Amino acid sequence: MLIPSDRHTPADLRLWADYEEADRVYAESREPRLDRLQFESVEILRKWATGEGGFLGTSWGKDSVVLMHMAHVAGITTPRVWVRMRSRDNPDCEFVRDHFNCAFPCNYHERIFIYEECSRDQHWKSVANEFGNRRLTGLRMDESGRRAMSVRHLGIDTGVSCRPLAHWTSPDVFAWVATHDLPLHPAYAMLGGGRWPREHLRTHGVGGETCSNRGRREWETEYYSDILRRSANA
Amino acid sequence: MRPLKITCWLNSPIAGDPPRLDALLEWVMSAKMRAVLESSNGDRHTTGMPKHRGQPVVPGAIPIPLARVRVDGYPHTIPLCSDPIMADTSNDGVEYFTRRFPSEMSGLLAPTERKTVTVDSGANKSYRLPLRIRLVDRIVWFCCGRDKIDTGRSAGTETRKLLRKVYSIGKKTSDGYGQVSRWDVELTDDDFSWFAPSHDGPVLMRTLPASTKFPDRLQGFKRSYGAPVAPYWMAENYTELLMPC
Repeated sequence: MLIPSDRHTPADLRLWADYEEADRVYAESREPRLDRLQFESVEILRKWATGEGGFLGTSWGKDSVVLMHMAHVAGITTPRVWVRMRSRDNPDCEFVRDHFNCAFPCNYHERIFIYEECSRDQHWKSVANEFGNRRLTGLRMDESGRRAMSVRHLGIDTGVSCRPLAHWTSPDVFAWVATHDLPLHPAYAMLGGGRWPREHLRTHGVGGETCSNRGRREWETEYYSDILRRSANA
Repeated sequence: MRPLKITCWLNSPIAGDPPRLDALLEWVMSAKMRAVLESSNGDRHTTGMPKHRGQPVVPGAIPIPLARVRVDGYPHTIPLCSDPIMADTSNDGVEYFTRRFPSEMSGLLAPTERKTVTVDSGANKSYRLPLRIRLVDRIVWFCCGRDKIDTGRSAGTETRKLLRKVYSIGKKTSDGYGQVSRWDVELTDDDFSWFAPSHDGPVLMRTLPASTKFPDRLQGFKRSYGAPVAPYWMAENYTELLMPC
Protein backbone atom coordinates (compact mmCIF):
# COMPACT_ATOMS: atom_id res chain seq x y z
CA MET A 1 0.00 0.00 0.00
CA LEU A 2 1.91 2.97 -1.32
CA ILE A 3 1.42 6.06 0.82
CA PRO A 4 0.40 8.88 -1.53
CA SER A 5 2.44 12.06 -1.69
CA ASP A 6 2.12 15.33 -3.59
CA ARG A 7 5.73 14.82 -4.66
CA HIS A 8 4.61 12.04 -7.04
CA THR A 9 4.10 13.00 -10.65
CA PRO A 10 1.33 11.46 -12.80
CA ALA A 11 4.05 9.55 -14.72
CA ASP A 12 5.37 8.15 -11.43
CA LEU A 13 1.94 6.91 -10.37
CA ARG A 14 1.24 5.28 -13.74
CA LEU A 15 4.54 3.43 -13.53
CA TRP A 16 3.93 2.46 -9.91
CA ALA A 17 0.57 0.89 -10.79
CA ASP A 18 2.42 -1.35 -13.27
CA TYR A 19 5.07 -2.20 -10.69
CA GLU A 20 2.45 -3.09 -8.10
CA GLU A 21 0.67 -5.40 -10.51
CA ALA A 22 4.01 -7.05 -11.33
CA ASP A 23 4.69 -7.47 -7.58
CA ARG A 24 1.41 -9.31 -7.11
CA VAL A 25 2.14 -11.60 -10.06
CA TYR A 26 5.62 -12.24 -8.63
CA ALA A 27 4.16 -13.06 -5.21
CA GLU A 28 1.65 -15.47 -6.72
CA SER A 29 4.25 -17.26 -8.82
CA ARG A 30 6.85 -17.41 -6.02
CA GLU A 31 4.57 -18.26 -3.12
CA PRO A 32 6.64 -21.26 -1.89
CA ARG A 33 9.81 -19.14 -1.91
CA LEU A 34 8.19 -16.30 0.03
CA ASP A 35 6.76 -18.79 2.56
CA ARG A 36 10.21 -20.30 3.03
CA LEU A 37 11.81 -16.87 3.48
CA GLN A 38 9.17 -15.91 6.02
CA PHE A 39 9.65 -19.15 7.95
CA GLU A 40 13.43 -18.65 7.98
CA SER A 41 13.19 -15.00 9.12
CA VAL A 42 10.68 -15.75 11.87
CA GLU A 43 12.87 -18.58 13.17
CA ILE A 44 15.92 -16.27 13.24
CA LEU A 45 13.96 -13.58 15.08
CA ARG A 46 12.62 -16.01 17.71
CA LYS A 47 16.08 -17.44 18.29
CA TRP A 48 17.58 -13.93 18.55
CA ALA A 49 14.88 -12.86 21.01
CA THR A 50 15.97 -15.54 23.48
CA GLY A 51 19.14 -13.49 24.06
CA GLU A 52 19.40 -10.56 26.45
CA GLY A 53 18.82 -6.91 25.49
CA GLY A 54 18.96 -5.45 22.04
CA PHE A 55 16.62 -3.58 19.76
CA LEU A 56 15.18 -3.60 16.28
CA GLY A 57 16.42 -0.62 14.26
CA THR A 58 13.99 0.81 11.76
CA SER A 59 14.30 3.53 9.13
CA TRP A 60 10.76 3.05 7.75
CA GLY A 61 12.05 1.95 4.39
CA LYS A 62 10.73 -1.18 2.65
CA ASP A 63 13.13 -3.55 4.41
CA SER A 64 12.33 -2.05 7.81
CA VAL A 65 8.62 -2.46 7.22
CA VAL A 66 9.03 -6.12 6.26
CA LEU A 67 11.34 -6.68 9.25
CA MET A 68 8.82 -5.05 11.60
CA HIS A 69 6.10 -7.24 10.10
CA MET A 70 8.23 -10.34 10.59
CA ALA A 71 8.83 -9.32 14.20
CA HIS A 72 5.07 -8.96 14.63
CA VAL A 73 4.48 -12.41 13.08
CA ALA A 74 7.20 -13.88 15.31
CA GLY A 75 5.53 -12.31 18.34
CA ILE A 76 8.71 -10.81 19.78
CA THR A 77 8.48 -7.76 22.04
CA THR A 78 11.93 -6.32 21.33
CA PRO A 79 11.93 -2.49 21.38
CA ARG A 80 11.64 -1.00 17.91
CA VAL A 81 13.84 2.11 17.64
CA TRP A 82 13.86 4.76 14.95
CA VAL A 83 17.11 6.75 15.08
CA ARG A 84 16.26 10.16 13.66
CA MET A 85 18.44 13.05 12.55
CA ARG A 86 17.10 16.48 13.43
CA SER A 87 16.34 18.65 10.37
CA ARG A 88 17.43 15.90 7.96
CA ASP A 89 14.67 13.35 8.38
CA ASN A 90 12.78 12.29 5.35
CA PRO A 91 9.40 13.86 6.20
CA ASP A 92 7.41 11.00 4.64
CA CYS A 93 8.79 8.45 7.12
CA GLU A 94 6.34 9.73 9.72
CA PHE A 95 3.40 8.68 7.55
CA VAL A 96 4.79 5.14 7.26
CA ARG A 97 5.35 5.05 11.02
CA ASP A 98 1.81 6.18 11.78
CA HIS A 99 0.23 3.70 9.35
CA PHE A 100 2.33 0.79 10.57
CA ASN A 101 2.00 1.47 14.29
CA CYS A 102 -1.74 1.86 13.89
CA ALA A 103 -2.03 -1.54 12.18
CA PHE A 104 0.61 -3.35 14.31
CA PRO A 105 0.99 -1.73 17.75
CA CYS A 106 4.41 -2.50 19.24
CA ASN A 107 7.04 -1.43 21.79
CA TYR A 108 8.13 1.61 19.77
CA HIS A 109 10.74 4.29 20.54
CA GLU A 110 12.36 7.22 18.75
CA ARG A 111 15.68 8.88 19.46
CA ILE A 112 16.73 12.14 17.83
CA PHE A 113 20.32 13.14 17.12
CA ILE A 114 22.14 15.94 15.33
CA TYR A 115 23.67 14.75 12.06
CA GLU A 116 26.84 16.83 12.35
CA GLU A 117 27.59 15.31 15.76
CA CYS A 118 27.33 11.70 14.61
CA SER A 119 30.27 11.36 12.24
CA ARG A 120 31.69 8.50 14.34
CA ASP A 121 28.46 6.55 14.90
CA GLN A 122 27.82 8.28 18.22
CA HIS A 123 24.08 7.80 17.64
CA TRP A 124 24.35 4.02 17.45
CA LYS A 125 26.59 3.95 20.51
CA SER A 126 24.06 6.00 22.44
CA VAL A 127 21.17 3.74 21.43
CA ALA A 128 23.24 0.65 22.24
CA ASN A 129 23.94 2.04 25.73
CA GLU A 130 20.23 2.43 26.32
CA PHE A 131 18.77 -0.69 24.71
CA GLY A 132 21.72 -3.09 24.53
CA ASN A 133 24.49 -3.76 22.06
CA ARG A 134 22.54 -6.22 19.90
CA ARG A 135 20.39 -5.07 17.05
CA LEU A 136 18.14 -6.43 14.36
CA THR A 137 18.53 -4.76 10.98
CA GLY A 138 16.92 -5.09 7.57
CA LEU A 139 20.26 -5.58 5.79
CA ARG A 140 20.07 -7.88 2.75
CA MET A 141 22.77 -9.62 0.70
CA ASP A 142 21.04 -8.46 -2.46
CA GLU A 143 21.76 -4.80 -1.69
CA SER A 144 25.47 -4.77 -2.42
CA GLY A 145 28.51 -6.98 -2.84
CA ARG A 146 29.92 -5.69 0.43
CA ARG A 147 26.80 -6.68 2.35
CA ALA A 148 26.70 -10.09 0.68
CA MET A 149 30.34 -10.58 1.65
CA SER A 150 29.56 -9.56 5.23
CA VAL A 151 26.80 -12.17 5.56
CA ARG A 152 28.92 -14.88 3.93
CA HIS A 153 31.87 -14.19 6.21
CA LEU A 154 30.17 -13.32 9.50
CA GLY A 155 26.87 -15.16 9.14
CA ILE A 156 23.37 -13.86 9.67
CA ASP A 157 23.97 -13.05 13.35
CA THR A 158 27.34 -11.49 14.15
CA GLY A 159 26.55 -11.18 17.84
CA VAL A 160 26.05 -7.44 17.45
CA SER A 161 24.03 -7.24 14.25
CA CYS A 162 21.41 -9.80 13.24
CA ARG A 163 20.07 -9.73 9.65
CA PRO A 164 16.91 -11.85 9.42
CA LEU A 165 16.17 -10.63 5.87
CA ALA A 166 19.65 -11.46 4.58
CA HIS A 167 18.37 -13.85 1.88
CA TRP A 168 15.48 -11.70 0.67
CA THR A 169 15.83 -9.99 -2.71
CA SER A 170 14.28 -6.64 -3.66
CA PRO A 171 11.46 -8.29 -5.67
CA ASP A 172 10.73 -10.52 -2.64
CA VAL A 173 10.43 -7.47 -0.38
CA PHE A 174 8.24 -5.48 -2.76
CA ALA A 175 6.04 -8.54 -3.37
CA TRP A 176 5.65 -9.13 0.38
CA VAL A 177 4.67 -5.49 0.95
CA ALA A 178 2.17 -5.56 -1.92
CA THR A 179 0.45 -8.79 -0.92
CA HIS A 180 0.28 -8.02 2.81
CA ASP A 181 -0.94 -4.46 2.35
CA LEU A 182 1.92 -3.05 4.40
CA PRO A 183 2.47 0.73 4.29
CA LEU A 184 5.19 1.64 1.81
CA HIS A 185 7.21 4.84 1.81
CA PRO A 186 6.22 7.22 -1.02
CA ALA A 187 9.88 7.53 -2.07
CA TYR A 188 9.71 4.15 -3.83
CA ALA A 189 7.32 5.61 -6.38
CA MET A 190 9.42 8.73 -6.96
CA LEU A 191 10.77 7.18 -10.11
CA GLY A 192 11.23 10.18 -12.37
CA GLY A 193 8.84 8.51 -14.78
CA GLY A 194 11.25 5.55 -15.02
CA ARG A 195 14.64 7.25 -14.77
CA TRP A 196 15.26 6.08 -11.20
CA PRO A 197 15.29 2.31 -10.45
CA ARG A 198 13.15 1.75 -7.38
CA GLU A 199 15.59 -0.82 -5.96
CA HIS A 200 18.16 1.93 -5.46
CA LEU A 201 15.91 4.50 -3.81
CA ARG A 202 16.47 5.10 -0.11
CA THR A 203 14.40 6.65 2.62
CA HIS A 204 16.96 7.73 5.19
CA GLY A 205 17.81 11.34 6.05
CA VAL A 206 18.08 13.84 3.22
CA GLY A 207 21.41 15.48 2.37
CA GLY A 208 23.90 12.90 3.64
CA GLU A 209 27.14 11.90 1.96
CA THR A 210 26.50 8.15 1.52
CA CYS A 211 26.05 7.22 -2.16
CA SER A 212 26.55 10.85 -3.20
CA ASN A 213 28.73 9.58 -6.03
CA ARG A 214 25.88 7.45 -7.41
CA GLY A 215 23.18 10.03 -7.97
CA ARG A 216 21.64 10.27 -4.52
CA ARG A 217 22.04 14.05 -4.55
CA GLU A 218 20.39 14.34 -7.97
CA TRP A 219 17.37 12.28 -6.89
CA GLU A 220 16.99 14.29 -3.68
CA THR A 221 17.25 17.53 -5.63
CA GLU A 222 14.46 16.34 -7.91
CA TYR A 223 12.06 15.21 -5.18
CA TYR A 224 13.15 16.72 -1.86
CA SER A 225 14.78 20.01 -2.88
CA ASP A 226 12.80 21.91 -0.23
CA ILE A 227 14.13 19.66 2.54
CA LEU A 228 17.68 19.92 1.19
CA ARG A 229 17.48 23.72 1.21
CA ARG A 230 15.94 23.78 4.68
CA SER A 231 18.75 21.62 6.04
CA ALA A 232 21.31 23.86 4.30
CA ASN A 233 19.73 26.89 5.91
CA ALA A 234 19.24 25.32 9.36
CA MET B 1 5.55 47.44 -19.22
CA ARG B 2 5.72 45.42 -22.42
CA PRO B 3 4.55 41.78 -22.24
CA LEU B 4 6.96 39.55 -24.13
CA LYS B 5 7.14 35.94 -25.17
CA ILE B 6 10.65 34.61 -25.48
CA THR B 7 11.33 31.33 -27.26
CA CYS B 8 14.58 29.45 -27.25
CA TRP B 9 14.85 27.01 -30.18
CA LEU B 10 17.18 24.11 -29.46
CA ASN B 11 19.02 21.88 -31.86
CA SER B 12 20.30 19.38 -29.31
CA PRO B 13 18.75 17.76 -26.20
CA ILE B 14 18.88 19.71 -22.96
CA ALA B 15 20.67 18.25 -19.94
CA GLY B 16 19.32 18.99 -16.47
CA ASP B 17 16.69 21.68 -16.00
CA PRO B 18 16.34 24.78 -18.15
CA PRO B 19 17.40 28.03 -16.46
CA ARG B 20 15.10 30.85 -15.44
CA LEU B 21 15.23 33.76 -17.87
CA ASP B 22 16.03 36.44 -15.30
CA ALA B 23 19.02 34.41 -14.10
CA LEU B 24 20.16 33.93 -17.68
CA LEU B 25 19.95 37.66 -18.41
CA GLU B 26 21.80 38.49 -15.19
CA TRP B 27 24.50 36.03 -16.18
CA VAL B 28 24.93 37.76 -19.55
CA MET B 29 24.88 41.22 -17.96
CA SER B 30 27.41 40.19 -15.32
CA ALA B 31 30.02 39.85 -18.07
CA LYS B 32 29.77 43.61 -18.55
CA MET B 33 30.01 44.57 -14.91
CA ARG B 34 33.28 45.92 -13.61
CA ALA B 35 32.81 44.35 -10.16
CA VAL B 36 32.32 40.89 -11.62
CA LEU B 37 35.17 41.22 -14.08
CA GLU B 38 37.54 42.42 -11.38
CA SER B 39 36.55 39.61 -9.01
CA SER B 40 37.37 36.95 -11.58
CA ASN B 41 40.17 38.61 -13.49
CA GLY B 42 37.92 39.04 -16.50
CA ASP B 43 37.13 35.37 -16.81
CA ARG B 44 33.83 34.03 -15.50
CA HIS B 45 35.11 30.47 -15.62
CA THR B 46 37.85 30.82 -13.04
CA THR B 47 38.39 28.18 -10.40
CA GLY B 48 39.15 28.60 -6.72
CA MET B 49 37.71 30.98 -4.15
CA PRO B 50 36.05 34.06 -5.73
CA LYS B 51 37.11 37.39 -4.26
CA HIS B 52 33.52 38.33 -3.45
CA ARG B 53 32.91 35.14 -1.37
CA GLY B 54 31.41 36.18 1.93
CA GLN B 55 30.25 39.53 0.53
CA PRO B 56 26.47 39.99 0.49
CA VAL B 57 24.98 39.63 -2.99
CA VAL B 58 21.97 41.91 -3.37
CA PRO B 59 19.29 40.36 -5.59
CA GLY B 60 18.31 42.72 -8.38
CA ALA B 61 21.62 44.62 -8.31
CA ILE B 62 22.48 43.41 -11.81
CA PRO B 63 20.30 45.44 -14.20
CA ILE B 64 18.24 43.44 -16.70
CA PRO B 65 15.55 44.66 -19.10
CA LEU B 66 12.77 42.85 -17.21
CA ALA B 67 10.36 44.69 -14.89
CA ARG B 68 10.49 43.88 -11.18
CA VAL B 69 7.70 44.05 -8.63
CA ARG B 70 7.78 44.03 -4.85
CA VAL B 71 5.47 41.54 -3.09
CA ASP B 72 4.26 41.49 0.50
CA GLY B 73 6.50 39.84 3.05
CA TYR B 74 9.65 39.50 0.90
CA PRO B 75 12.46 42.07 0.96
CA HIS B 76 13.60 41.84 -2.66
CA THR B 77 11.84 42.72 -5.91
CA ILE B 78 10.75 39.81 -8.07
CA PRO B 79 11.12 39.86 -11.88
CA LEU B 80 7.95 39.69 -13.96
CA CYS B 81 9.00 36.53 -15.73
CA SER B 82 7.54 33.03 -15.83
CA ASP B 83 9.42 29.84 -15.06
CA PRO B 84 10.64 28.02 -18.20
CA ILE B 85 7.90 26.21 -20.10
CA MET B 86 9.03 23.21 -22.11
CA ALA B 87 7.27 22.00 -25.20
CA ASP B 88 6.19 18.34 -25.23
CA THR B 89 9.20 16.21 -24.42
CA SER B 90 9.61 13.63 -27.15
CA ASN B 91 12.24 11.75 -25.15
CA ASP B 92 12.92 11.98 -21.41
CA GLY B 93 15.84 9.80 -20.43
CA VAL B 94 18.96 9.60 -18.36
CA GLU B 95 22.64 9.42 -19.21
CA TYR B 96 25.56 9.01 -16.84
CA PHE B 97 28.81 10.86 -16.52
CA THR B 98 31.47 8.95 -14.72
CA ARG B 99 34.98 9.08 -13.42
CA ARG B 100 37.11 6.25 -12.14
CA PHE B 101 40.71 6.29 -11.05
CA PRO B 102 42.58 3.82 -13.30
CA SER B 103 44.04 1.71 -10.48
CA GLU B 104 44.67 -1.17 -12.90
CA MET B 105 47.39 0.97 -14.51
CA SER B 106 49.46 1.01 -11.32
CA GLY B 107 51.54 -1.88 -12.68
CA LEU B 108 53.00 0.49 -15.23
CA LEU B 109 54.64 2.55 -12.49
CA ALA B 110 58.00 1.72 -11.03
CA PRO B 111 57.57 0.14 -7.57
CA THR B 112 59.29 3.11 -5.96
CA GLU B 113 56.77 5.51 -7.54
CA ARG B 114 53.64 3.70 -6.30
CA LYS B 115 51.63 5.21 -3.50
CA THR B 116 48.16 4.90 -1.95
CA VAL B 117 45.42 6.95 -3.59
CA THR B 118 41.99 7.37 -1.95
CA VAL B 119 39.20 6.81 -4.45
CA ASP B 120 36.30 6.99 -1.96
CA SER B 121 36.69 10.71 -1.26
CA GLY B 122 38.69 13.75 -2.23
CA ALA B 123 40.02 14.78 -5.62
CA ASN B 124 40.15 11.24 -6.98
CA LYS B 125 36.68 10.14 -5.82
CA SER B 126 35.05 7.86 -8.34
CA TYR B 127 31.50 8.67 -9.39
CA ARG B 128 28.70 7.68 -11.72
CA LEU B 129 26.15 10.47 -11.75
CA PRO B 130 22.85 10.52 -13.63
CA LEU B 131 22.00 13.40 -15.90
CA ARG B 132 18.45 13.96 -17.07
CA ILE B 133 18.35 14.42 -20.84
CA ARG B 134 15.23 15.74 -22.53
CA LEU B 135 14.64 16.12 -26.23
CA VAL B 136 12.63 19.30 -26.72
CA ASP B 137 12.56 21.64 -29.66
CA ARG B 138 11.86 24.85 -27.75
CA ILE B 139 11.58 26.45 -24.33
CA VAL B 140 9.32 29.44 -23.73
CA TRP B 141 9.26 32.18 -21.11
CA PHE B 142 6.60 34.87 -20.69
CA CYS B 143 7.84 38.11 -19.20
CA CYS B 144 7.32 41.85 -19.00
CA GLY B 145 9.99 44.24 -20.19
CA ARG B 146 10.82 47.48 -18.42
CA ASP B 147 9.44 50.75 -19.81
CA LYS B 148 12.66 52.66 -19.49
CA ILE B 149 15.96 51.08 -20.46
CA ASP B 150 19.18 53.02 -19.87
CA THR B 151 20.41 52.26 -23.38
CA GLY B 152 17.33 53.90 -24.94
CA ARG B 153 16.34 50.70 -26.76
CA SER B 154 13.02 48.93 -26.18
CA ALA B 155 12.95 46.08 -23.66
CA GLY B 156 12.40 43.56 -26.46
CA THR B 157 15.39 44.78 -28.44
CA GLU B 158 17.61 44.87 -25.38
CA THR B 159 16.53 41.36 -24.34
CA ARG B 160 17.18 40.04 -27.84
CA LYS B 161 20.61 41.70 -27.85
CA LEU B 162 21.55 40.07 -24.55
CA LEU B 163 20.22 36.64 -25.44
CA ARG B 164 22.16 36.59 -28.71
CA LYS B 165 25.22 35.89 -26.59
CA VAL B 166 23.69 32.73 -25.09
CA TYR B 167 24.73 29.86 -27.33
CA SER B 168 23.71 27.00 -25.08
CA ILE B 169 21.65 26.38 -21.94
CA GLY B 170 21.40 23.66 -19.29
CA LYS B 171 24.15 21.37 -18.04
CA LYS B 172 27.09 19.84 -19.90
CA THR B 173 26.91 22.33 -22.73
CA SER B 174 30.56 21.61 -23.53
CA ASP B 175 29.44 18.07 -24.40
CA GLY B 176 26.99 19.47 -26.93
CA TYR B 177 23.81 19.49 -24.88
CA GLY B 178 21.37 22.41 -24.97
CA GLN B 179 22.72 24.07 -28.12
CA VAL B 180 20.60 27.08 -29.05
CA SER B 181 19.71 27.53 -32.70
CA ARG B 182 17.64 30.70 -32.38
CA TRP B 183 16.12 33.14 -29.90
CA ASP B 184 12.70 34.65 -30.71
CA VAL B 185 11.47 37.69 -28.80
CA GLU B 186 7.84 38.55 -29.56
CA LEU B 187 5.48 41.18 -28.22
CA THR B 188 2.26 39.77 -26.79
CA ASP B 189 -1.05 41.36 -25.86
CA ASP B 190 -1.43 39.78 -22.42
CA ASP B 191 0.92 39.37 -19.52
CA PHE B 192 1.32 35.69 -18.49
CA SER B 193 4.50 36.22 -16.49
CA TRP B 194 3.06 35.25 -13.08
CA PHE B 195 -0.45 33.97 -13.76
CA ALA B 196 -2.24 32.64 -16.84
CA PRO B 197 -6.02 32.34 -17.14
CA SER B 198 -7.77 28.95 -17.32
CA HIS B 199 -11.33 27.62 -16.94
CA ASP B 200 -10.67 26.48 -13.36
CA GLY B 201 -8.94 29.68 -12.26
CA PRO B 202 -5.59 31.42 -12.69
CA VAL B 203 -2.61 29.10 -13.15
CA LEU B 204 0.64 29.93 -11.36
CA MET B 205 3.42 30.54 -13.89
CA ARG B 206 6.33 31.52 -11.65
CA THR B 207 7.81 30.45 -8.34
CA LEU B 208 6.74 33.14 -5.88
CA PRO B 209 7.06 33.70 -2.13
CA ALA B 210 4.15 32.14 -0.23
CA SER B 211 3.52 35.55 1.35
CA THR B 212 2.44 36.98 -2.05
CA LYS B 213 -1.22 38.00 -2.39
CA PHE B 214 -2.46 35.35 -4.80
CA PRO B 215 -5.67 35.54 -6.82
CA ASP B 216 -8.62 33.38 -5.77
CA ARG B 217 -8.94 29.82 -7.12
CA LEU B 218 -5.23 29.59 -7.93
CA GLN B 219 -4.35 26.39 -9.84
CA GLY B 220 -1.26 24.36 -10.65
CA PHE B 221 1.03 24.99 -7.72
CA LYS B 222 2.79 23.18 -4.90
CA ARG B 223 4.48 24.39 -1.75
CA SER B 224 8.25 24.39 -1.55
CA TYR B 225 11.22 26.21 -0.04
CA GLY B 226 13.96 28.09 -1.86
CA ALA B 227 14.92 31.38 -3.46
CA PRO B 228 12.34 33.22 -5.58
CA VAL B 229 14.94 35.56 -7.08
CA ALA B 230 18.36 35.14 -8.65
CA PRO B 231 20.88 34.02 -7.48
CA TYR B 232 18.70 30.98 -6.88
CA TRP B 233 21.46 29.05 -5.11
CA MET B 234 21.89 31.66 -2.38
CA ALA B 235 20.62 30.31 0.95
CA GLU B 236 20.16 33.83 2.39
CA ASN B 237 17.28 34.39 -0.06
CA TYR B 238 15.43 31.20 0.82
CA THR B 239 11.82 31.51 1.89
CA GLU B 240 8.55 29.59 1.78
CA LEU B 241 7.42 29.32 -1.84
CA LEU B 242 4.60 28.39 -4.13
CA MET B 243 5.93 26.88 -7.32
CA PRO B 244 4.22 25.82 -10.54
CA CYS B 245 3.72 22.06 -11.04
